[in-house]
Amino acid sequence: MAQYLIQEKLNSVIDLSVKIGNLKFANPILTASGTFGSGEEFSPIIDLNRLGGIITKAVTLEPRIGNPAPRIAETACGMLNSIGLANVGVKQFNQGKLPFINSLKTKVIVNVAGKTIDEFSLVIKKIEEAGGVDGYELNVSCPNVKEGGMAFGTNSKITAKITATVRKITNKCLIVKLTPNVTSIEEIANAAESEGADGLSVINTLVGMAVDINTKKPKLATIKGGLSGPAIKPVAIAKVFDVVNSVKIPVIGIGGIMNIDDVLEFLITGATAIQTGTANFVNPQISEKLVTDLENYCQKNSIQAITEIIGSVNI
Amino acid sequence: MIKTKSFPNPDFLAKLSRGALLKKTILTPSLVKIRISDFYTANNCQPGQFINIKVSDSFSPLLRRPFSIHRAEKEDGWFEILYQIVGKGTKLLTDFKIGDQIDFLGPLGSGFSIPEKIDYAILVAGGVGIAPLLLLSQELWKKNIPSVLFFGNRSKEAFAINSDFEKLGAKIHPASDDGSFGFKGTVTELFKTKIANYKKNNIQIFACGPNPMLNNLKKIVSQKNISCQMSLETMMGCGFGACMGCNINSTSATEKYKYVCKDGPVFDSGEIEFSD
Repeated sequence: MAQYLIQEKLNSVIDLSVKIGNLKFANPILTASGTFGSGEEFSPIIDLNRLGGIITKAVTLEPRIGNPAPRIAETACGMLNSIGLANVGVKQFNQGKLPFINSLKTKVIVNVAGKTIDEFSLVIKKIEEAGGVDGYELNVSCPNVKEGGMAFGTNSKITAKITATVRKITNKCLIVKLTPNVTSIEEIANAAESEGADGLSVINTLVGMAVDINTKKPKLATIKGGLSGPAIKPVAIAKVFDVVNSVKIPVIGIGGIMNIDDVLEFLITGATAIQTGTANFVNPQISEKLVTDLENYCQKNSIQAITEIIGSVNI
Repeated sequence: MIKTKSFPNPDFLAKLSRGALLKKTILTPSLVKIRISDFYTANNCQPGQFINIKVSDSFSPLLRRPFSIHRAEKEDGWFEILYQIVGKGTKLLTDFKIGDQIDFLGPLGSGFSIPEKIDYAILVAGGVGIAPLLLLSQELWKKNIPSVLFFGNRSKEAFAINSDFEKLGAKIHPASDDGSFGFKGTVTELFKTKIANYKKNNIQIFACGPNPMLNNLKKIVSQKNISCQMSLETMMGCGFGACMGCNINSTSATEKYKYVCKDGPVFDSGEIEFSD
């Protein structure tokens, strides 16, 4: 018991909190959209309130059934997916998922997607009316939908317009999730920042493809999909580095984070927070474990505040 | 009709566990049975449920591999899986040595449901699709429900596990592609020749095997209007409903897809559609 109290005291001294816009997260460990449902799916096996935050599966104006099977394929140290933003739509989200989300202490950011700028606005307006969430992550980077998605996020003018439009609707934390499938991610990042984004999620999946050599068929029904997992981590680190060096707002690092070393690598590179994605499928308890591992790391290395290591990369 | 479940699911009893490998039996060069020590899973699994194993600590392969629970002994605190070596994951699993710890998530999914009043059960298996049917047989045996097993294989070696079913009182109708064991032809062809012998109101069919076999079986049972529960296999990302990667076509007017890991892996044959 005494030891437990000492442990508690030590932990209370370490400040793991980070801020994005006006929103304070208890720690920098968040879960990536599309890999964590609305959090409820994981509630039987982890303590959601230990996490810094949860980013929900994308919510669209109308329900989406998603893409035909096969939707996933495993590749070396990674996976391809083409789920196609399958979700229940904003009406059912508000009725079916918000009550659970509102019962959580942890911060919940709703990932929003749309085929048009109006759809982004309408989804956010409807969630604002229902109330309760802590912020929004604009999905202008999904590679697996025909309209909207990555088509928006590869164009700085459209990214700027969506950000500006949504900014007028909500004062809550507004994050724009960027695609790496562009010539200059800095240009898109600058566009989002200049129109009022509070933070940037870097990166969404890389466009990828795999072919079965026996059937000669692509392994995904949509032919191409999004590559995630440890295979993309060095790309993600490079993109975080580039974006951190071109904007002033906080960057959330995403891409192949599997363990505490990966978390530290992103923070050192300059990410203010991180999101676990594919790792949630492999180990549904990983996000909670990373919070504990981060506490232990700070304790062992006499770090008082996590902000000490953010951006400490030695160039 | 099997009731599909949604989250939060009070029946979601899966845990992330590690269990020691107790026994490994190489039945044929590609068919392996392993026994894993875990009291919790042995005592909480239902026939048709599966576990999702991390076959390597490395990132390759990255994702877990799903395996049906083949047999469980509650008091002894162990369960078995039966699998075919088909790729890197199953090969790595076979390299585990007695005493090694196996990292798995389970029990997962919605399994077979045994109706209250049936006179007997008909089991139909193709190849390694036999795996979940032994645990089901254990349950039928406990409930004193007699069963017959239609079991098809490419060749005779895989019939090595017949005795496990015979011990549970199952009468076996074997079929092999080359005719080296039992009926020469597919298990669904054999099933079709025998189905007329069964009265349709008091039987339940339980099946597992490759999709083309299940598709053929679905056509036969829908013609005869018999109830049939089928366990399906697909590529899975997570195994617990988060990644939405394991969709299959549904016959429901309101729901285009069902998800094998959480709505299944066991479905009523009327709920799902196979692509020909």
